[in-house]
Amino acid sequence: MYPWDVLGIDETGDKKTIKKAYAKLLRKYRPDEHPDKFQEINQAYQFALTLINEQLTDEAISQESPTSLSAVGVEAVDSVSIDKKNNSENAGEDDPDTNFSVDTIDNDVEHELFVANGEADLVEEILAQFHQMAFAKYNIKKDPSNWQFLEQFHSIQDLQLRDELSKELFKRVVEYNSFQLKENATLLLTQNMVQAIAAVLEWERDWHELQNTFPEHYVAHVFKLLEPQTQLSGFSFLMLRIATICLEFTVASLLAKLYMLRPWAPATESFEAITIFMFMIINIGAMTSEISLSMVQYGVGLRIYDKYLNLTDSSTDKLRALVFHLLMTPLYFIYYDSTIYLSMMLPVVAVILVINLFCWWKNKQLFHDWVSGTIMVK
Amino acid sequence: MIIGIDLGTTNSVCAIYNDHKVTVIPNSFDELLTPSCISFEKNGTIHVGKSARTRAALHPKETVAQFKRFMGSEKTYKIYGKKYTPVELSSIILQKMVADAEAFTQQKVTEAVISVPAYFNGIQRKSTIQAAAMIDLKVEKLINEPTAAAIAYGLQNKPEYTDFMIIDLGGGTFDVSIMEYFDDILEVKASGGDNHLGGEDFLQILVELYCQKAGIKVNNLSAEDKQAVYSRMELFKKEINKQSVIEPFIKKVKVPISITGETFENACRPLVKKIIKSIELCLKDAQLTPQEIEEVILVGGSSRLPFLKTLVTRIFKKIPRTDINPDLTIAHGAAIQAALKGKNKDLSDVVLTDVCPYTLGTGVVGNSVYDQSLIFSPIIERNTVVPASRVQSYVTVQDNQTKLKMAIYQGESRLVKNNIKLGEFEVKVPKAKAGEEMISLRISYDINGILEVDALVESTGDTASLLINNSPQELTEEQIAQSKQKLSLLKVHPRDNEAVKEVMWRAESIYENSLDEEREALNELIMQFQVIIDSQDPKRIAQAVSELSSALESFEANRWL
Repeated sequence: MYPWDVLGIDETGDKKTIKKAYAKLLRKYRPDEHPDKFQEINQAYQFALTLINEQLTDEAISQESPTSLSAVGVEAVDSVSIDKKNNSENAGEDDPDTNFSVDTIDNDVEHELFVANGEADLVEEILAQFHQMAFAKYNIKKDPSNWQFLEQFHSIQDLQLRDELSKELFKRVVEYNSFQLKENATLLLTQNMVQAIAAVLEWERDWHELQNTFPEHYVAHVFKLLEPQTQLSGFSFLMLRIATICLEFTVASLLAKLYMLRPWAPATESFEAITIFMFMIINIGAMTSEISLSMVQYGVGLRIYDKYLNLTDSSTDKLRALVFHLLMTPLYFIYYDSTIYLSMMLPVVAVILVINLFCWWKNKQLFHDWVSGTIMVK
Repeated sequence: MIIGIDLGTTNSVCAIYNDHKVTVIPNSFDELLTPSCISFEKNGTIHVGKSARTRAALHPKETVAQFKRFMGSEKTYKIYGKKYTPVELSSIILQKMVADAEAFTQQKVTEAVISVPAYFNGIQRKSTIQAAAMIDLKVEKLINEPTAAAIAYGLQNKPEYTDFMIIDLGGGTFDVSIMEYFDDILEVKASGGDNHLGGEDFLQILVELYCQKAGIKVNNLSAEDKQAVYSRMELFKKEINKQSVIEPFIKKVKVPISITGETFENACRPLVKKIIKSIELCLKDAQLTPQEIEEVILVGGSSRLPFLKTLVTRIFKKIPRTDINPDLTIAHGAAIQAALKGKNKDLSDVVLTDVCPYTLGTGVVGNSVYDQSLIFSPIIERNTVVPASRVQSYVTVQDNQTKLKMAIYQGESRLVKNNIKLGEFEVKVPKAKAGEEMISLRISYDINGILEVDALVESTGDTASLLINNSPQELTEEQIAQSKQKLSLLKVHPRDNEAVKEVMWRAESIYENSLDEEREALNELIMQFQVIIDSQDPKRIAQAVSELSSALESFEANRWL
């Protein structure tokens, strides 16, 4: 029976016997001389060792209270995607992927597990401080020095415990953010903070392990935040910008022409020019800011996320910007000359307002966000 | 004859295994460490080793060092209008090692075991072999440095079934490895580290610390002063715990500067953190706890840093071993490995199993539609025992897809764009719905780090394959021949004359940095020396060299202490 037949021994729980058999075979089949045979033997050897280790761990678990939180950690993650009671009123009920809840506040079970370990207090302390800091005021938590407490992570001697703590914090980042996004469409932990946390806990290094532990969208959320902003550069970027500006210009002039066909529109060249000019200013502003938002939005630090909590790609951003600016057009007219256009544009503005209110009531999103499937986040 | 060579970033060492013991071969200065430094003269003469390092003070632009860091890259060094690749420069160092060994043993050296950092990738390993090929030296085997260190520490005497760790902090690289020795099997369980962390970085910190305290900027210093600061700090690094005051030694600094061991240690904290992280990652990969490590061996010149020993003791709760001179340990191991390859009876029974130090895999389209960057899909995980062959299946992502582009990457990052692309090839698949066509991709990694990639289309049985030892950086036979030709034009400075040159340059360099009275005294010495050199009497010259050398040492000591 594999792997014992390859090693040429009877099934055993003794590490030494396995190693002896392996060594004996290896002297016959050296890795440099018999690469294929060596691989076969090595795999059987590794497998045999794994079997023994599992056996040992099983025994240890049945003998004493569990010292690891891994089992529960995984369970908690699973329950997260099923647990909907916190969010049943919110949108996206049909989409279980996006429904993670914050059940970490209730951490009695985890408490039990940590107590079993000598370094439990420290772990608990870190978790408590993390919780406190995550819900602290933005001004406090954006200061990296306030996250210094995480450095204690490295003073935990038990590497396995440390590993579990790292995973627990990973889970919490996603769940806290998801919770806050549902509540008021903001991220509790923004890019800078997540980057700072990840740097200490080295999530980028451990990505593969995290990927094997957590659902895809958990990993995608955090790693999207960890990625530095991609900045297009060089010739292709220049061409893209020129193409965008041309497109914006065409749209703007077409719209202006359309308005001029109306009897109420003043048939002057300057009006057309100003309309186009305004469109261009606004749209160039939107397109040249690195996150494809208007200058104002960018200035106050808004970010766009899709419903999977990932930062959006540029085509989604463009769609969103286009819908937004189309809806804003009547306001631009009022802005241009309120005395003439207020009465004319008011019904249009009212309709847009109604659409948006309806959209907000239904989805907690503005129309252009809903169309492009995005969430604005600060 | 076969020798073992430790081709280091800062220093190189060579050794032979004879009469059941290792002999480290001294160079023409009768020193065991040869700086990996080359200095060029306009007429095509080159100086290698200590004389080159001394000459660097006078001709910084014509002197190269640290080129091992760029092995396998496209970086070139331009000296007197000619370009030299790191491979060519390494071959000059190897040539020097071989010449020293031949002079010492009076035998022809034909083969060598050369040590490389565990972190070296396939291209870098290949480059090392090619550097040897340029001087017609056959590389019997490349050995990972930590493996060499483990061998040097006499595995036969270890208690069996114990895990031990090798921590190698050299001039430019940092390596950690965990190994187990049992029944004549030396099993590498995990290896890791950082190929841009070493003693030079600690030196840099000390230099910056000094400049900061002295109120000067490193970049504003003249080449000579810079050199003086670096070499002074190099010395100071060794005695920092005994002595914390540095008397003025360059004109720009007029007051004594004090740097305590504690200040230095604090400044080094970020580097130390990196070291700790590497050690921990290695433990994690080997699935071991610090308590399970029975023995820790420190290797590499920089492992002499006092706080490194403290650190290791703290992590492992045991005192690390440093009984072999940490600078020579790897050369020791390489020499023993050389004997092992020659099936020398003493060691023929030891079987080495090694691991692949990095993850190999391909790029896949992520499940999230919004995430457009390719995600790394590991096939052979880092620290898998080699030779290894692993297979993974991949499916098409688009309807009616006709081909799959399979690229092979090496690295640890989640996004393939941050990993190193080793090669790519296309596999044709029949048209079908997305996800219906499947291919199996097999990567085989052999003991020499050569990769073989095979793709099998499940539905048609078509295969495609790729052999990765053919990257753009790699040289063809023709290029090697060209390099050989180029190198043959260079004349290595005759061995017997080296010492004379070196001491002269040292005198000149000190002269340039001294003040009036010292200059006069020096001038006197140099003139006397010149007279003896002109006499061409080898005995008198040898005596004069050692006299001038000790005189210079006292000069340096007076200025520095």
